[in-house]
Amino acid sequence: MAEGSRLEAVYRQHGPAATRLAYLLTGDADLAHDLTQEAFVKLAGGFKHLRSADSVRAYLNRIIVNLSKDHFRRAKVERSYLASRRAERAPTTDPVDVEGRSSMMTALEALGHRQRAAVVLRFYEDMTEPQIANAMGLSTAAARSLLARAMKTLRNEMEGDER
Amino acid sequence: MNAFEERLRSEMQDAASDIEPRPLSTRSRGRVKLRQAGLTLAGVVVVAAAAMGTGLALNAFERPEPTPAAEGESLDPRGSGGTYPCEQPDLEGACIVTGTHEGKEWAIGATLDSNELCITNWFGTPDGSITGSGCERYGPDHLGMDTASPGGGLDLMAGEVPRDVARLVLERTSGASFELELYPAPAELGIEANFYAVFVPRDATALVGYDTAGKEILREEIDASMRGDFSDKDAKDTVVTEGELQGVQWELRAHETGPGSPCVGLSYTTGSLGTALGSCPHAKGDRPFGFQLGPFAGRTDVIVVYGWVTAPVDDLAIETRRGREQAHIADAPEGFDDDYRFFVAFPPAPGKGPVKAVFVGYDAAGNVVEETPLCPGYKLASNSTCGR
Repeated sequence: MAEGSRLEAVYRQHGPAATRLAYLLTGDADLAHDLTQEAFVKLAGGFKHLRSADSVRAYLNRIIVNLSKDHFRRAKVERSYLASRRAERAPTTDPVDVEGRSSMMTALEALGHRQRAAVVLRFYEDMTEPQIANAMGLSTAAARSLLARAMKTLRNEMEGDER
Repeated sequence: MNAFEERLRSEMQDAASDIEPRPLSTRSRGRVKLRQAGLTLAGVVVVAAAAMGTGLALNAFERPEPTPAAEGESLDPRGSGGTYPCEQPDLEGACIVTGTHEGKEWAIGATLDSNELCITNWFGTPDGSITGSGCERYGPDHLGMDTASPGGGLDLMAGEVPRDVARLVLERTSGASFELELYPAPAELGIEANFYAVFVPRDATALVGYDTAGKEILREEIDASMRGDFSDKDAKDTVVTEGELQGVQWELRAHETGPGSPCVGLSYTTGSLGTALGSCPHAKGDRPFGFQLGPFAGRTDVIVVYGWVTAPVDDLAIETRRGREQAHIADAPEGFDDDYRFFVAFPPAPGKGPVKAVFVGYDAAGNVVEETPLCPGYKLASNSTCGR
């Protein structure tokens, strides 16, 4: 199959799931679509190294996680720059449509991006701790610890909201 | 899975189900084709480099000793009045180190809350003090990086490294390196870490940590965004092109800090006041363009984007929900690397609501060479600068 046709087929198969994952990682639908397009451009460059459909999904998940991490890192730098300006003139985070969000999703979005990624990979993508570690470039112990801290924070947030 | 986890899963699935897939865009397909063509070429280059680099590899085990900063270059932020430990009442958190740099007082501190480590900064200016912070999740193996720019071409990068890092070295494209001083974390933070602070130079490439045996145990690349708006204040700018926008005279100016490392700035005059925005938006490397954006003459309806493009880019546009703004591209002045040209564009300032803006470079045949989102700074451009 030609590379272009293969990419189209893979996009049809994995694109929607990748976009949903990107959305849960970022909370921003437009950004999720942008990250997915970027992820498939990157994925196309790595086709020849992928052996199976399963490895496409895992590779794609890893790209999405990395792209969202890069996004938040850039945003952090920009926040830092802007925060150093005494006169704050604008909000420093991307606009997120919070209307209609459940309290659980709001609590999820309040997590740091690494904790949030761990939770999304565990409970949305159904990944095991070693798989999360692989997707996030961590040791299994670090992934376990990250997930545990994230769940603790989420529970605390939810208990606070429901009191 | 317990009830809480079930609920979490269910609500994530509900939220994700609202996202409607979109087809693979024409631009993405075009970028894939270009990338695949580029990868073929890159493969040849790698093989050639590997063949040529055999001799270099033999010497790679001997890590060169760090070299001091060049004369007149100030990377050590402590200057003459630096102190550790320190006190600065206006600084949030535990004061790590403070000093004076080119007449500006500064201080770096840290706070730790729920494993979120925030590097705080304070700068004294003639008009009062400015403060800021940047936060990252803290972990025992973490190398933190936070850059604050008080303006005037200074970018103070600071962060924490694990205690087992005995030496921390800043590497530069020139091959030179600079060893940073390490400051033990104040006891009140309760973490096993050391802090560093450095006025990060434009050509910084990585922070590298070594243990007591000299083994590299940690490495973090320094990308352009971490170098903030650092610019070579002493360089002599050349006027690339000039013009007028609604009564405001502007000049696009540039200099090189080295071959393929352009710095570009825009100055304009409103009344008797002149203002200069300046930056070195990325070493050229293999990127088709680099840019910086910022406010223009205090206007709320327009911003300015300026930077450089490489030879394959024939046309450059900023595409927003409000339309398409063509960039004005000008040749590099005589004596500059002739592989790139400079550009300036004045797209409409972002309005209210979600911002969507991409920067697209086309080749002479109209194919997309590269596209990149204008970073979140676009919507903050009344006060921001940012990289790609």
